[in-house]
Amino acid sequence: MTPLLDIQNLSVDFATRDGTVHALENVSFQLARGETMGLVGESGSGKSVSAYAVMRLLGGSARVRADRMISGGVDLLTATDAEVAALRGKRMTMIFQNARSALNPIRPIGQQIADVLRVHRAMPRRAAKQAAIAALAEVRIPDPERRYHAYPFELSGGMCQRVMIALAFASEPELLIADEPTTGLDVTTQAVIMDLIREKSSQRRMSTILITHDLTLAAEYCDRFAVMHAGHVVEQGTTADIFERAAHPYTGLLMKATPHGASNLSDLAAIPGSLPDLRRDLPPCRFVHRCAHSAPACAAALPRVPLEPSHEVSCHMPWKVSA
Amino acid sequence: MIKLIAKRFLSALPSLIGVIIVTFVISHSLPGDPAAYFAGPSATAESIAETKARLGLDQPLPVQFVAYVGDLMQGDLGRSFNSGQPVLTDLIRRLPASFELTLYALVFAIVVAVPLGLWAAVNPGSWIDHLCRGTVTAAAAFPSFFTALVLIFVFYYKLGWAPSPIGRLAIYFPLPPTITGFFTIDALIAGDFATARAALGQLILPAISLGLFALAPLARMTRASMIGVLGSDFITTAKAGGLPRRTILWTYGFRNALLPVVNILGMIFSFLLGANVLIEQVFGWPGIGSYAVEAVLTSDYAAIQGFVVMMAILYILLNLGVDILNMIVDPRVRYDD
Repeated sequence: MTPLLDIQNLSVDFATRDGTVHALENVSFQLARGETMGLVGESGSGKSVSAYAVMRLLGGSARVRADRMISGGVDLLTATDAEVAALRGKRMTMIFQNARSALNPIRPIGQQIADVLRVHRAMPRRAAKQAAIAALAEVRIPDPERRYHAYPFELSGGMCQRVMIALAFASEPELLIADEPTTGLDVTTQAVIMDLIREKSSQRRMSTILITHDLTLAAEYCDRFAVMHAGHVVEQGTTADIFERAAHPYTGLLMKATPHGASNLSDLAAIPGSLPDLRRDLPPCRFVHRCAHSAPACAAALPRVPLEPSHEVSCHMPWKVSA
Repeated sequence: MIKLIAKRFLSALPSLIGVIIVTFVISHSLPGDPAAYFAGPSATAESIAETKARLGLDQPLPVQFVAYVGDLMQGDLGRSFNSGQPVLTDLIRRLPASFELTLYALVFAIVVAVPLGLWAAVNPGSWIDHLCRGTVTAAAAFPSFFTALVLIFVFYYKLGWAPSPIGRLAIYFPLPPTITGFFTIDALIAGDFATARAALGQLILPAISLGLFALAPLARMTRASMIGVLGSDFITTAKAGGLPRRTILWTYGFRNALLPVVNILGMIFSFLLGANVLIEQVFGWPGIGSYAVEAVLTSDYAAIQGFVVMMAILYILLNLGVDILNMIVDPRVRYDD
């Protein structure tokens, strides 16, 4: 079966005043229908840039190249702006980290949902209003008729994120990209929001990309993971592959830096060093300067090593995960 | 909402009191003796002293001030030395002229600046963006009275397109019956289209000279605000939701970009009322600006004070108006305390 999303060797450069930022290099992943993939890595590793590239939301300063970039049968590399705009909302949509600033501050939230409905389901005004109220009720916002007229600043952060979810699902997309949807929310609200996303997406057999740096949270909701570091996908595999058989040293360190239920603060280890400066010429393996296992062989071109059908790593020295 | 308006109004009172004190002090320390001016060129020392006593100018300043404030409370701004009329009557008679001019200038500035700023913001780096920057710089660089003189030279003297710059209406047109005090509107109400056209013709050059002055801040603010809004998160959401470009630019972009523009409108309007002073001189416009210039030149205390106090009140009312407008367009303001 053809995957819903097929990205091969996606590279993104940004032209800035201080030189070219090599934000992504040869990023490849696929996403099947109904699948949830976690995109993890520390801040600045290129998770969001990947998502924005898929949505074609990167600004004019971005240079995007790829061997293949197909979403729902549409080639994102050759599609015109108008064609991509027609895909957005209907085929693919996005939820953002800061829900309050991601909503129009001076437009009632219900109307913002109705705007999307009127475009994608060709609804007349009154029907769109009723459907928007139903959408608010579906994400369990109490008193949806009254909340329809509320402005974002009148709602809590968790409520705003519910509105974002209602907004994203209103057009019944095939692909949802959730960019850190629970960052900034308290732990109980995080779980509620994530359950809501899972419930809605499984009802509709939607594919989801969950961008997060919260591995513990993501493990509960994702079928597969892609681990990113400095613009590379360093390892991808099923949740079990990543959590039990991590092959890339960075994945291993990321696990050790993540708190688990029974761990003490002293068990947590910071990852040494910091992300390399993406404006300079970079070695083939961008992790080499932070890696405890780097060897002369690491100076060669970065391989993509299939370990199992589901599990792939970009490393010259796989399995050297420090135990 | 009513409470909020009342609160804004009360908070303006201290500045009003400050304005009254400062103008009184400043206008009484101006050089020149109004009594000598008022008594006429053939006055003797005795007649000047007599005039002084009649006008109360021989009293110590604090006594004069108390008397002035007392009169002010009763709406009495004093009597102008120049016209012999009560200052309030003079101002009320001349205010519509200035208002009409300022309003047309503001409309001209908005109609040109807002689309220019928006267009430039949507296509940054394009020729329209450069045109916007060029216009803004040029409009800000020339003083308005200079622009006015150039416009008169070109459109009246050289091309003969504009009527002679001598006031609101050429003498051979009948004055329209006063309803709003705006000649163009009053003439239209009276059904006198020829007069309305003539009044509009008189307005065009001064309104453009004055409006160019307001163009720069408006266009710049619109452009910056729209660029800021188009880069904000909720525009990305709207794009991700697949809303059409028109909806994104107008319903989501423009309405949000308008908020800071509305905010500076009050300031720009009062700037314009101030800039009127020069433009009215150049065009022989019988407004409050030329009245104020005359008053300053002849040390007409009561007229100067009346003018400044009225401007202060206008300024406060304008800002109140902008606050109310803000409450209408921005839901967040309604809840602020």
